[in-house]
Amino acid sequence: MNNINKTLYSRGVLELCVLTLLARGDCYGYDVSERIPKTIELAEGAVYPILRRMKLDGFVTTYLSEDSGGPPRKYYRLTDEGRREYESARNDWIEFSESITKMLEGEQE
Amino acid sequence: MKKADFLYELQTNLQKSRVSDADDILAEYEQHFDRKMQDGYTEDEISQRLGSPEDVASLYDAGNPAVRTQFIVKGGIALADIGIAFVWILVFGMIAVMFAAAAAFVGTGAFIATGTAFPFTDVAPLAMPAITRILIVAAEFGAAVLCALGGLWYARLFGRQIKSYKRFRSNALNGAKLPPVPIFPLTSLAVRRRERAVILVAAALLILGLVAAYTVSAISAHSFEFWHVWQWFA
Repeated sequence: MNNINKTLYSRGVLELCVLTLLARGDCYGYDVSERIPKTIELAEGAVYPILRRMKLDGFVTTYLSEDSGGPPRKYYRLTDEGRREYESARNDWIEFSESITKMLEGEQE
Repeated sequence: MKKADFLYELQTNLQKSRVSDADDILAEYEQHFDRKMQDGYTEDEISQRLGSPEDVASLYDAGNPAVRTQFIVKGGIALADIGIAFVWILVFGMIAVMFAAAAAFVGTGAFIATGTAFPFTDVAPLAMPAITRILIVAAEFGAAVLCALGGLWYARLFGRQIKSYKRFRSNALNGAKLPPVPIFPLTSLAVRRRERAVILVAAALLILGLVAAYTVSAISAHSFEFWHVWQWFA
């Protein structure tokens, strides 16, 4: 997965990947920073800025939870707006990738 | 790089680019270090995987225009919100008008086709020869199709405008990042071609139907004002 193209492609879907994770359940930042770099080439430190931006956009809210006994952790939860953004970004991506695949396979309109 | 060094450099860089609530951000990275150390990573490994503090700080910078411009941008966006609301009221009105007109054409078409009286009016069942009836109903059908297509187009425009404005808004508030979404609906060539064919047929039905209906009626009633002869509004 080590080439410049993949890095470029990844940039556009980063937010979608984070939304997808959060759509499946609340996560704390560490969780996200662990899981996203497994799918796309990304420094773990780059995940927190995305989460923060999504919070500013109103797509996620945060809350503190001490359920694991340790120090309180900051959890991220998708808002209704975030869920709508997720659905639409997901559909957009599927539509987009399908049309690109179609084009690559040389199908005429 | 050790945890303390990483956090110090991150803090310095965040302050340099005037990112708000830097403490909150630092706390998050501190937690990240603690958690990873529990998992057995060394401080050096963790900071290596995080990326350089400068890079990390620059990611925050991109998402956060200075507070002052933020204030102006927010004011501008608030005004734009009000403006776009008026536009959307108009667009939404057009959707309603188009579909209402389509429904009206279908309704009147149905009453003319069946030769029954219009409800809620004084208009008695309209007397006319069968051929006029068929032509008028065909014209009304064409008009209904045109209006419904218009309504659909406005509905698509409405959806597209919402998307486009949302993108514009979030780009303006967070510093432009994503490419703008087109304002007008995009359809594939195949769909456009099909739509054009339907519009042509519907328009032809409407225009030819009306012209033919008038001509046939005028001839059969021996009057240019055949509606008087057939006493439609008597």
